[in-house]
Amino acid sequence: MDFIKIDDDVKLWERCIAGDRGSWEILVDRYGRLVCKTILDTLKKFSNPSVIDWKDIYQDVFLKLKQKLHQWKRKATLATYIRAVAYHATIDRIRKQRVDPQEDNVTTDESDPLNRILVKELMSNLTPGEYLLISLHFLEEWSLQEIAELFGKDIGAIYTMKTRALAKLRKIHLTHGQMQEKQTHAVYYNGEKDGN
Amino acid sequence: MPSIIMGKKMETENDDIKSFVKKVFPKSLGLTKDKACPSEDELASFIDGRLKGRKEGDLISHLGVCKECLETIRFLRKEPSPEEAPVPRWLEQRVKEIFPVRPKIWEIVLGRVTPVLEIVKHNAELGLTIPGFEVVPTSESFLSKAEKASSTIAEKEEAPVTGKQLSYVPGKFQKPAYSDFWKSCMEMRAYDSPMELFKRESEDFYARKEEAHKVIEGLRSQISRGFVFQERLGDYSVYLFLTKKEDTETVEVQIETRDPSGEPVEDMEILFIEGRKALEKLLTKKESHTLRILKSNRLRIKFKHKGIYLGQAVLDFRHKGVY
Repeated sequence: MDFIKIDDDVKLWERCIAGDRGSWEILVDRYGRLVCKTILDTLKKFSNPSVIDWKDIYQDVFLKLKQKLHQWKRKATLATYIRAVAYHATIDRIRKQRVDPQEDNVTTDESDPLNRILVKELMSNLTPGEYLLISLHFLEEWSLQEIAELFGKDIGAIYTMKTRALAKLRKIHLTHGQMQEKQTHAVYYNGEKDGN
Repeated sequence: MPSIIMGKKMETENDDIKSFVKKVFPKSLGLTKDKACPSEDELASFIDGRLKGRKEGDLISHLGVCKECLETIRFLRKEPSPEEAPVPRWLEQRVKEIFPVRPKIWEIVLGRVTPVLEIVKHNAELGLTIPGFEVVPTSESFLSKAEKASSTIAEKEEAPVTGKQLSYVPGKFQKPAYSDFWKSCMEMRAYDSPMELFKRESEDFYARKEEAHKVIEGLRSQISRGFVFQERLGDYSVYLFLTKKEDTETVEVQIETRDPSGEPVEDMEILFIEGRKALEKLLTKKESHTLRILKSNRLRIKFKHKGIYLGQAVLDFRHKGVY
């Protein structure tokens, strides 16, 4: 297969889709180490590398890549896509290894009609980015630098985003306060009325 | 003093907002995941900053409710560790073998043609050319390759790919007499292989395997209608178009010569110095001919251009099964 010279990842991938074994071998040679590093890094972060055999995951990753040949839409770089696949394969393996799978403990308090209105208002006023920023910054206590890294933007842009989001929140907060006041008044008024 | 008061006011306000967020956000963000997680491709596109518009907004919204995806992006944003990661050779080999060896398109062509025609002997290194592909056999003989390809198709076994894939051959041939053949060739030019052709119709090959086989079968019967030999005579290229007829006993032959720039040479003198009488009668310049293959046929063709002898091509072929 050494006669095929493909420098371009897209071409290489397309040849793999066309069923060219030589291109697949080049792909393995080119990205094998990256896959290995991603697996080991993920294991180090979320589990113990000595408990899980990375070689099994390594094979899984390439098996998945082969099965998902049509899923890479060429927007992201092939390296990032392969890393994402490797990361997910490792996480799946760690999850299988665990006896008690962690469930998402998300609760919804929809009993309070005021909260429902608030949720709607938050959703309509804040952009998805602002929403995420506020929750990460205030609830998860991420630093602005960390958020900037997540969004792939510089910290100045994130700071501006935060200021804009806070201004919107203040407005909602104010309205919320007024609404609560009204509700209290209404309860009080109704109670008085019932009493009469 | 007023600035201190202002600062304190701001701090109190921020605390208010913080408590408001803590009070409201977990509840509002606690919406259960109504959509599946984005694909690895979408996540990777986001990381590379190539996800735009609504898709980017959807993904960011999703990150607000899915800690797993959030963690994925956080992890992948960081560069991989600089430590060396040696992969054992056996593991690399095993992973490489996951991918099956599929026959090349020209092997499929040969596999389809060889049951009908057999190339017994030739004087030079003959290449099989189909538009989009130019294959020059290297070490092994043409015949052994053809046989190998044939057995590959028959037994559906893995066959090593031999030959050298060269540059794209521009499909300049426009032969009205061979409309069907050239139509199929045009198809082949657009799609490098049956797999590629099938990809046009189906996104998931593995999920629709049977359908894929039907498409490929159809394509095989199309391309088995004809094949092209390319012979190099100095800087000139000579193309022999052999088109199999439906009855499988006759073959149409046409010759075209081209100069180094790829343009057809009109004044090429072609002499048939050997062959069956009928063949000699029928083969004249710029015309297509029908050749009935009964036993063995030899085509010995001499080429002259502007009085200069270029060389000769000799091709012995016979109908398979008639000896």
